[in-house]
Amino acid sequence: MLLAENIQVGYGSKIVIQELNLTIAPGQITTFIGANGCGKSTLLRTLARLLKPTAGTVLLDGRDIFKRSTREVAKQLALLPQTPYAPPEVTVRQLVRLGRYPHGRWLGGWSDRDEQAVQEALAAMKLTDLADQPVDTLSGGQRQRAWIAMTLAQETDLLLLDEPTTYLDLSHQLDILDILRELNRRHHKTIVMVLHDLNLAARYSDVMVAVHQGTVYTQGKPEKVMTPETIRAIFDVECVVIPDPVAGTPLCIPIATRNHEVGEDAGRTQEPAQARHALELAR
Amino acid sequence: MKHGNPPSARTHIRPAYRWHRFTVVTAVLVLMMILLFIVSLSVGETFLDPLELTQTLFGSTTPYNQLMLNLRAPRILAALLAGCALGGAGAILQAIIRNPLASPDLLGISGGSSAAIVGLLLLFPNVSVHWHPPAALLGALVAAILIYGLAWRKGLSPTRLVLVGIAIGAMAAALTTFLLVASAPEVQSRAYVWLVGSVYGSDWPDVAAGLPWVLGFGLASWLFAQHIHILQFSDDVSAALGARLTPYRVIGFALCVGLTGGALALGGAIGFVGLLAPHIARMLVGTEFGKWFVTSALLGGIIVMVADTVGRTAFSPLDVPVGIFTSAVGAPFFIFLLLRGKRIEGRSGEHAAR
Ligand SMILES: Nc1ncnc2c1ncn2[C@@H]1O[C@H](COP(=O)(O)OP(=O)(O)O)[C@@H](O)[C@H]1O
Ligand SMILES: [Mg+2]
Repeated sequence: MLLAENIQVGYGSKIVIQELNLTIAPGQITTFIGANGCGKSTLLRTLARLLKPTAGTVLLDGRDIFKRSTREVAKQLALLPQTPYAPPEVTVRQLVRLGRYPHGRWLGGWSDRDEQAVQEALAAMKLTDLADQPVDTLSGGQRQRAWIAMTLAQETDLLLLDEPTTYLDLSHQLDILDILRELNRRHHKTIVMVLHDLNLAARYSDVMVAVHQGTVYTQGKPEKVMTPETIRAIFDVECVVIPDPVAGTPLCIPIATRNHEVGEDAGRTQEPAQARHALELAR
Repeated sequence: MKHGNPPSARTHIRPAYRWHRFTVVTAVLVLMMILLFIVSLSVGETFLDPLELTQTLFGSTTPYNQLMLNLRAPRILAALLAGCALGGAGAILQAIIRNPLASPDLLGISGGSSAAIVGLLLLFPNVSVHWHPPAALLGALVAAILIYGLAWRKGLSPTRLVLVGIAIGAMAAALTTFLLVASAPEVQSRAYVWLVGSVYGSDWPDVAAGLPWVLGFGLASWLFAQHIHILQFSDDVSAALGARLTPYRVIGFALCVGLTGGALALGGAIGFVGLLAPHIARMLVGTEFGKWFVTSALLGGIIVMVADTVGRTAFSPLDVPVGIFTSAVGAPFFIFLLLRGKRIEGRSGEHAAR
């Protein structure tokens, strides 16, 4: 159970997150949505103990994570950062092996348990055949799977993923999200991630957290969070929300940004009222 | 709670490491090293029969060879050890700075040593060689502490480390030149040989003085390998895996300084090896640090040993300092490697320093 208690986080004198309270429900998929720069990555990094809040605290299983060793925390909670970097020579297997680092002994022996975790992580991410390829030579989707495999090899109950699907095409996005859902449903991993595609977020999440200006604007089931009001408040976008014809989850259809420049989009974007009318007719 | 990953259909346990490539490379390098050592002992103004030499090594005494052994062997060993240390130090630095263009000579660490040794020679012209390693180490340490102190901003960022290091290197070079100008001619010539990088006249005491530094710091680096390894990934990745970035960087940097100081004490400022050896090693075995470090050290030793042997014999009676050779041959070779198209593009992966 991961819990942020009234945290304030910043970089230097710049405060990014303020008075934020959040409880990550165990066994669920929680997705953060919010505009660029609103503090989603900062929040995720704070939850993963990478940033120390200037006020408040983060509790993992009831204990302050900043009072525990990084290694101990890394055995319970894995993070995939937004733009991870590995040296170009590193192979998929070597990357995944890195996930065993927190479990290692000081001199770094290698146990059967370690090997098994690596093999299973490779298999779960469908990477066994690519194991000896340098990560640098993989496609975007494969590379992302390799990084996720690294976090799986950590064998943590909690998986924090910062934009795992960004820069992937639709089929690879679905691919990753299906795998994550499988990990959650079948293997009971608690997953916390940042997604930019609202509709996929609504489809795949148990809980959505709308982050706005460094605090939680609203949170709850997708039906509760994905409303025109919330979208307007956090993205400054007018939209209509209809049920997703496939999954039944809320589907957001954007109409226009509220402050769009006159003329710039004039030819393409219909006036909000007109568009809404058109949609209502269509339904 | 529930641990473990999805059980896959077929999970066969395979050997942990892809050891074989590394094993082959190491075996070949060690073999090369031994062979080249024997060749190096044989060649020179007087050619020694390698067979007789081997016998001498194993105990049977031939007075003449014994004599040569006492002249040549320590020099070759000094070259070998200095090279190993430089290769190892270069690999450490490239790993913690995440940049394949980093090397102890570029970052002012060697520069600090040079200034210290020249200063020592200037102040105490008759000082025993036993003071060279500590002086070199002290110089390297002062430079390193300066680099550290100036690059530190609530943690250590690799980029700042490089930039400050280059500046400190330039300052150390200026100081060295100044000390040289201020010295008497005989000190100048001794210092000059040292600055170019030379193992000329190394004897057993020299080797004995340098050996503990190189072996000690080498072993320590090898034991610390997994922690240096993880520093090669972006800060967020390694920190999330439980690595303590700043302490590990400090330790890694200290190990690099120790090795560099040892190498400088043995062979002076031998250029380019700290860049070249890690680069070739990376191409051979990749960047898993334990393997990379060992390979780079072996390569460094071989390079310097060969360079010194050629310098000693090819232009006889002229004894060309080894440093000239490593640079003259190493630099073009390095350019050749770069042109062959191996990736050397700028490396990202640096986030908030911590
Ligand atoms: N390392 C950093 N140093 C200073 N400011 C940062 C740093 N990382 C992020 N920020 C700032 O913090 C704010 C939130 O960033 P971030 O958490 O990355 O947003 P998001 O992930 O929601 O796009 C932004 O204004 C960004 O400029
Ligand atoms: Mg972000």
